[in-house]
Formats: sequence, structure tokens, C-alpha cells
Amino acid sequence: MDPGVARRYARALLNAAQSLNSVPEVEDDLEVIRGLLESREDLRRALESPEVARERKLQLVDRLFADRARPLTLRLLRMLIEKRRENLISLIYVEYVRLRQDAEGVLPVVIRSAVALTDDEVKEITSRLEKQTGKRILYDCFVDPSLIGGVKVRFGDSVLDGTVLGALRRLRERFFIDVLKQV
Amino acid sequence: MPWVIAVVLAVIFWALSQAPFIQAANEVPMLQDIGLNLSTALVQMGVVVLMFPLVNMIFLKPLREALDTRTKYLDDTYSAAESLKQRMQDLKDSYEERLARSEGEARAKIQVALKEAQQMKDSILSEARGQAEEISRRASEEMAREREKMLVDLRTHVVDLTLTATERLIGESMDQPRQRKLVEEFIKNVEVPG
Repeated sequence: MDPGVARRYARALLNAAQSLNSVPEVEDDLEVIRGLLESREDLRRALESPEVARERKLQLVDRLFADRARPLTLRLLRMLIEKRRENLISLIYVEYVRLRQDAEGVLPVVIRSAVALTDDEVKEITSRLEKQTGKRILYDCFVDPSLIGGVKVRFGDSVLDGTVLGALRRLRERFFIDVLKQV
Repeated sequence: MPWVIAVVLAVIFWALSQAPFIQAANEVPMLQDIGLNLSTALVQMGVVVLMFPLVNMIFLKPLREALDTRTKYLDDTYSAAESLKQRMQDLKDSYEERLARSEGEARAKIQVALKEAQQMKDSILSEARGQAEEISRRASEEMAREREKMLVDLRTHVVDLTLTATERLIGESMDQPRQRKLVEEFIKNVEVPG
């Protein structure tokens, strides 16, 4: 699966949805379709199998989603089937959400900590991130005792690691580099 | 020819034996006393003369021929022996000359072979020495690499052990105040990379 291709489809879909003023509806459609494909292995296999004829797949999509999905979403599905890109549906959804959030100035953030953070602490972290990125922070919090102590924040391709585990890992890397330098 | 002479002589002797003076001589008392009859003696002499060619033909000639053949055979044998001896001498001379020449050539060849062998020996020894040095050098390098690798492994292992122990110690000593302090520090220092 090529994320670049999925991103192009997602961008085109978002543009079309914006022009039709139905960005959240299309996102809902994609989420439902993705959920269905994840929960129904036979359906996913039928859609992605190269042995199933395109016409059969198109009939299947029409029968399943014609009265549930928006015409735009349905058109995307038909196009993916015609171009044999059925396996990109889940990836297109992820990219669509990311592009939509980016367009709306939303930054999804995952906060992990060794112990549960208080509301004030989370608020403090998100407000600092909002101030520095200029975006609205949409966060998910997780408790991960393996971090030993501290907090780790991940957003986009960046990671802010303030955990004991991270510090030890960096220390270990430095030690290894020093050991290799001595050779 | 001998037969003719013998016959003539026999005829002469016979004729003399019939001669009247010979008959008269036979009547001499002194000759009768000694028992000599000149006629008989002359006939006997004629027979003897006749016997010469016969003896010659039957005995002497084959004997002479045999002696001649024998002599010729001996001469031939002697000359063959001489010739053989000469040939042997020539062969011996030739052989000795060739032997001397061969010995010289052999000595020269042996010298050349010895020289080549010496060069080969030097070359092989030099090559072997070079190979031995190369093997020794490689072995030394390999040992040095192995030593370095072992040192790296050892240090890495020590680092691993130390950090694992550190991780456990920190984990065990991590209480709520320290957790909160770490969170506070994170909040205070959080900075999004440009």
C-alpha cells in the first residue's frame, strides 16, 4: 500500500467534500466503511481479491452502500474498484481525517505517562502545545507504566519524550556510541 | 703330371730290373749272402714311386687341404679376432671419449640443475616465508579484531547490565512525589521543535 497514493485520493476527496459542504458526512461514511471492512473479513477479502471480477465488486458496493453512503463516497469506492485500489480504503480514511484536521487547524496529540495525569496537568500540556503550534489540540491520554516516570507526547512525526525510559534509552545510545568510538 | 712322372720312373725301374747287368749283379755271391736281389729292389722302388701320387692323392692332398683350411680358418679367426680387438679398442676409445664428454656434460648439467634447484629452493623458501608472514599478519589482525569485538561486546554488556540495573532501581524508587515532579518538569520544559 502506498501512503502517497492514499494521500492524493484523500486530498481530492476532501476538496470535493469541502465544495459540497459535506466534510464530516463523508468522514462518517469512510469510518463506517472502514469499520465494516475491519469487522467483516469476508467482505474485505471479496473487495480486495483480484480473483473477484470488477463488476461483481461494483454490484456488491452498490448493494451495500447505495442507500447508506453519500454519492461522493460511493463514487470514490467505485473509482477505487475500477482502478484496482480497493486495499487503500482504510489508509484513505486515515489520511482524510489527518488532512481534515490539518485544514481545520486541529493537531491530534497522543499523551502517554507513567502515572495518570491530572486534568490540570493535561490542560497545561495542551495549552503549551497550542501556544507553540498555533493549532487546536485534540488529545488522547494513555497510562503506560513501562515509561517508569515522566510524560511522552506524540503528534504528527514529532515526539517530545520526557520519560525516564526515554532518558535511559538515550543514555544507552550515547554509551554505545562511546564504546564504538573507543574501538 | 705326378702320375706321368711316377709311371715313367716305374717303367724305368722295371726296365732296369730286367736289364742284363742287373741280372748279372744278382749272381754276385756277396749280394746273395746279404739276401739282396737288385731286380726285386728296383721293382719295389718302381712300386714305391708309383705309390707316391696315390698316397699324395688319397692322404697327403686332403691332409694338406685340411691343414690349409685349418690354417686359413686360424688366420681368418686371428684376423677376425684382431679386427674385433681393434674394433673393441676403437669402441673403447670412443666410449671413453664419449664417457669423458658425457661426464663433462653431466657435470655441467648437474651444475645447472644444482643451480636451478638452489634458485627454486630460495624461491620456495622466500615464498613460504612470505606466506608465513602473511598468515601471521592476518592472524594478528584477526586476533586484534576479535579482541576489539570482545571488548565492544564486554563494554556493551556492561552498559546493558548497568542500565538495566539503573532502570530497575529508578523504577523501584519512583514514588508519587517524584512522578509529579517529573511531570512538572516536562510541562515546564516542553517545547515543540521548530
